[in-house]
Amino acid sequence: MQWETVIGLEIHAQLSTKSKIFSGSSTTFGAEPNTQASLIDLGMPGVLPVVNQEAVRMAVKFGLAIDAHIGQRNVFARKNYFYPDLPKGYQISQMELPIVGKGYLDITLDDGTVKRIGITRAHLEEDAGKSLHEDFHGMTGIDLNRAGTPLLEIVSEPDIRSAKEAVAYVKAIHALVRYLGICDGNMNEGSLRCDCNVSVRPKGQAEFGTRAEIKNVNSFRFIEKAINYEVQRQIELIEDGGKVIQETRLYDPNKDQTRSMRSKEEANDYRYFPDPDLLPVVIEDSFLEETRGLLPELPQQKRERFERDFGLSTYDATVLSASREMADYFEQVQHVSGDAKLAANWVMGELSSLLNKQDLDIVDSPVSAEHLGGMILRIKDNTISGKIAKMVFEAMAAGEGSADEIIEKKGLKQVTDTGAIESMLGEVLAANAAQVEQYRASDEAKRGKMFGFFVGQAMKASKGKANPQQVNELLKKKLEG
Amino acid sequence: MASDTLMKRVGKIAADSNNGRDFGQGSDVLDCSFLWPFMAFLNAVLDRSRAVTRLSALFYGQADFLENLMALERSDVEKIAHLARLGLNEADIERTTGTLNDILGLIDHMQAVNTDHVEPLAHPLEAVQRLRPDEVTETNQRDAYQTIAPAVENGLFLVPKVIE
Amino acid sequence: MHMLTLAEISRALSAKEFSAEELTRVLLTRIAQVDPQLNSFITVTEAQAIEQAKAADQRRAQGETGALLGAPIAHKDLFCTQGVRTSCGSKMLDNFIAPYNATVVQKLADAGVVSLGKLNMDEFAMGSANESSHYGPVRNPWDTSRIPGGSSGGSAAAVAARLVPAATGTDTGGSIRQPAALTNLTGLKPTYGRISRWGMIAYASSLDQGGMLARNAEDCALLLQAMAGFDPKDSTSVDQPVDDYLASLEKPLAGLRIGLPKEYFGEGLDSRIADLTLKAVEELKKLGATVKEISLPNMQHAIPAYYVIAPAEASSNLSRYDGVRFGYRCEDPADLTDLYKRSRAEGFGDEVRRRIMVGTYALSAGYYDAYYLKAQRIRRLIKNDFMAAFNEVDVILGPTTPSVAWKLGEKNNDPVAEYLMDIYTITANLAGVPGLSMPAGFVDGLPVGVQLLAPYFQEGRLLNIAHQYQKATDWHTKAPTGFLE
Repeated sequence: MQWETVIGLEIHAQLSTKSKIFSGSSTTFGAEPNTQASLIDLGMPGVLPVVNQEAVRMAVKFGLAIDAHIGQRNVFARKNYFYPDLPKGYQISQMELPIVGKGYLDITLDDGTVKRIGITRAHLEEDAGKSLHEDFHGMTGIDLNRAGTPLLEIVSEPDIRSAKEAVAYVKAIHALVRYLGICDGNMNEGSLRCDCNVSVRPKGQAEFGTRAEIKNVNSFRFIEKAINYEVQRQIELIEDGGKVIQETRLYDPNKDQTRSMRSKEEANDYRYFPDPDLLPVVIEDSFLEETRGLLPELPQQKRERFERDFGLSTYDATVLSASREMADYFEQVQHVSGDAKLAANWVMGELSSLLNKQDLDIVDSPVSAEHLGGMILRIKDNTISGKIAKMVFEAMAAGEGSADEIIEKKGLKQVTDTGAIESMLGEVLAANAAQVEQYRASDEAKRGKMFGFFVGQAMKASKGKANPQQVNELLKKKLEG
Repeated sequence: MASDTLMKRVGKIAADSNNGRDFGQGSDVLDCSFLWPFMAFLNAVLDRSRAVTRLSALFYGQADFLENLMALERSDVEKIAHLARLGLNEADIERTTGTLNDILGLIDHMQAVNTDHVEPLAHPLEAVQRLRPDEVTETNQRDAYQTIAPAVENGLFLVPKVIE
Repeated sequence: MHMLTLAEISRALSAKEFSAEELTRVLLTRIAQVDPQLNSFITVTEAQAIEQAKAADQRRAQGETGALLGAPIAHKDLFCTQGVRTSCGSKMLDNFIAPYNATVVQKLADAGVVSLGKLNMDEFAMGSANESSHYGPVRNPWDTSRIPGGSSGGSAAAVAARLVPAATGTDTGGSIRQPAALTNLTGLKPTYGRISRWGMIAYASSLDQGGMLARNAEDCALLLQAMAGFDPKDSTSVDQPVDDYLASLEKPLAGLRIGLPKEYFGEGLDSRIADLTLKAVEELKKLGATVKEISLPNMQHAIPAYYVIAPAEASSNLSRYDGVRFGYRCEDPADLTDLYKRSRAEGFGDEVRRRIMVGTYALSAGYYDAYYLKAQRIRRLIKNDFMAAFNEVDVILGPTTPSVAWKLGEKNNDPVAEYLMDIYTITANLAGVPGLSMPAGFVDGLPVGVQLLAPYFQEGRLLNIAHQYQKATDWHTKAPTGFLE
């Protein structure tokens, strides 16, 4: 039996507004419990919500970026249920009339193909608080700092067909919301949370199978593993004659399994109705156009531009446009050095290694884009060789100044004078006369390795400063005799 | 007509305290058509015994009328109480089922109104939402707000342990 | 002193005939002596009242002259008063010391009023008789074996018995107008959105409106002037300039077009109440008004629509009462579900639990369209009826209630019977139009009120009409015997 996997994802992005969606409390992460919980956030008797304009703006930005229909008259609705981290006994969300309607996002798969994933809708809602289950002598502690933080819930169509596609989609959303400056995408802190709806069906069947929802999977790796496990579980269940139940499950990374959430009862009746304390949000055309003007160049457009204008490969263009900061850095390096390919290589190579090693974001790079660009210029004008450049790079990373300053101070200028190289080579060959004889006596195949020996000696003698290309040419000539 | 007699009866039962004076003795009979449906329900409400109600209904030719009451079963009431997290005991459920059915019967009268092509009105004045600027205006008031909390420790509100 | 109206007090304080502190002490003594018979107060804030009175006297000594400076009032116990118990007449909030002031409370405090305490009410504003309060029923000063109306029953009884000259109230289905009618007071529910709901503990959000009960229209105008206004903390608050209600009291009524809905006057309405209503019409005609018959064809459907919408919104608004962050918590909850179920079952009274259940049901899956949406459609029909009527007339007049005050205990266990008593008042809440009830006579010694309804934001007109009527008649000056000393 051939099986097909069908996946739909619900991503909750915490919007990076300064204050909460319905109250003027701060949204800063990590504060002492309940120190950022106002009367409104606590659901005190008599309080009323007022909508944060920036949350609306951010949602519209997202909608425009995914080419979606914008709900210019959208309505907040109450989702009623009881849970201690939900102080009012209802969550203010959006039901029938969300702020963002149908849109799409194109994702690039591992093999380079592009797939369009439909987005059903995105709506605004408030986040709940946090429950802490550590020991309070058999009690649970509730922290409502997070209650009221604005969320944008992004619902995809069930267009995803594999765990890898799912990860690509989440990564694309992650990049997009960071690009737009509406969410910091920090999955560790819960800024971006993912619920995966997974089902399987026999290949060729039109109807969807029953789906299970895996809630709150919070890293790209876990998303892939959780989905893979769940798909396997469902297939085995069905092949054993069982039926998949529509239920909520949790992924346990320690056991690499999903398990059913015991405490969640059968379908909760949320009794949605428009929140009578809030009025319909009307988005005028002027607000829409104003917001459109605030959109940055989006990842897709940037990638295409990098390919087109700089001749980069799709792979390189994708990596370099993955985040706005990375793209901006790269473009600056390209601008200073005038060489996109070298810039791409250095950013994706040495620089990325450095950042990874030191666990730094590109915005905190010890090597500035200007400096890197300047260094590349010196490679291009042959002042230094590629090899020397690595030394220069390290020195720049250590804060020793610009490329020119370092080259000057350390005397790293490349030797390009033919005469000087010739005479140096002459000395090297003279010092290794036996090897020269051996070389001349050997055939092509054996010569290759021996040649390397002479190159090495030449580099040592010149302290690496001889231009490698010239060394190669001249050495060959000399050895030929 | 049977309903007039019923109405007089109901009017008498429903007579409020005009110092013991019932409507029937007034120069006018309580026959406001707009009050009829409600008064009929007063009949059901005031007479606790369903059997008697059915009898008088039959007598007055109102049999099918009462049969149309929206009937909540005990299990419905239990479900609703659970959704609303109201702990009802045996006696409560009994009482509540009856009263709720009376109220729902009152509400059911809405179904007779034709509302085709009528848009729901959620807010009387149909205004639109005002948006506020994204500014932090609240300060930490935890101590003040937690003085009235039933159970607090280390700044957290305590509840019986929640199992996930 | 206690017989003075708010306006008279204002003038007397201005003329320094007595101080706010003196007046406050007199009233506090009266309350202590008289209120045990009425049970209109839940909390008397003696110390704070004297503080406030002294502060008002101080402000006056420094040259301030506001009309309400030093004026004594009391608040319905539904308005949050910082540092003072705010109970909503419920065991659920018996221990709730409000951590903030409602906008209404703050505005009146800024104007210099002295608040004598918190007034009794039907639990969470659900009721028309003030019999459902955790703190016991309130009695009507006109006949203490009878109810004063509700849910602002404490406000009505306290003002009628001259314990305070005026009080704040709230009106969701008639809860200011009906008790005003049953206790010979003038009560105003302004246009929805005119008065801020911040700190006004919610029952039914799209219907609730704050207002006041007083002995006459002028007093109501004094309070409305201070209470009305846009509040950015309330999304449903309307940004509309506040009229000068006092200035417009004196406008002559010549040319006023009054509409009498034929549906109000079905053949069977108690003829004596009908008579008094028509008498009031005659008085207004003498003052220059014309009358015509109009129709509000969907009026009868208002009650079922209201009893879907209000409980539905309430069922959600009251979910926050869960024993977690404030309010009543049951003893030794076994687990979370037990905490919720017992705290709520024990904290809420019968009527509240009933309405929560009805509301929960009306919103539940499968019933939302047939109940909630249907009710909202009827709501639009009712609003349309008013809009059409106001094309032909300036105000609508009718009886406020179909009966006079009934005996305590009479409609117990008969919620539907009590619901029907709202028949005249409920439409104004559904449509959001302003409504006022004013005294129009007596039936067997019990007060009868007539109600005026006007288009949006014309509460000034309502006060104007009532004021002119009250200059030509004296029903509103009558006080219940037994409460005059």
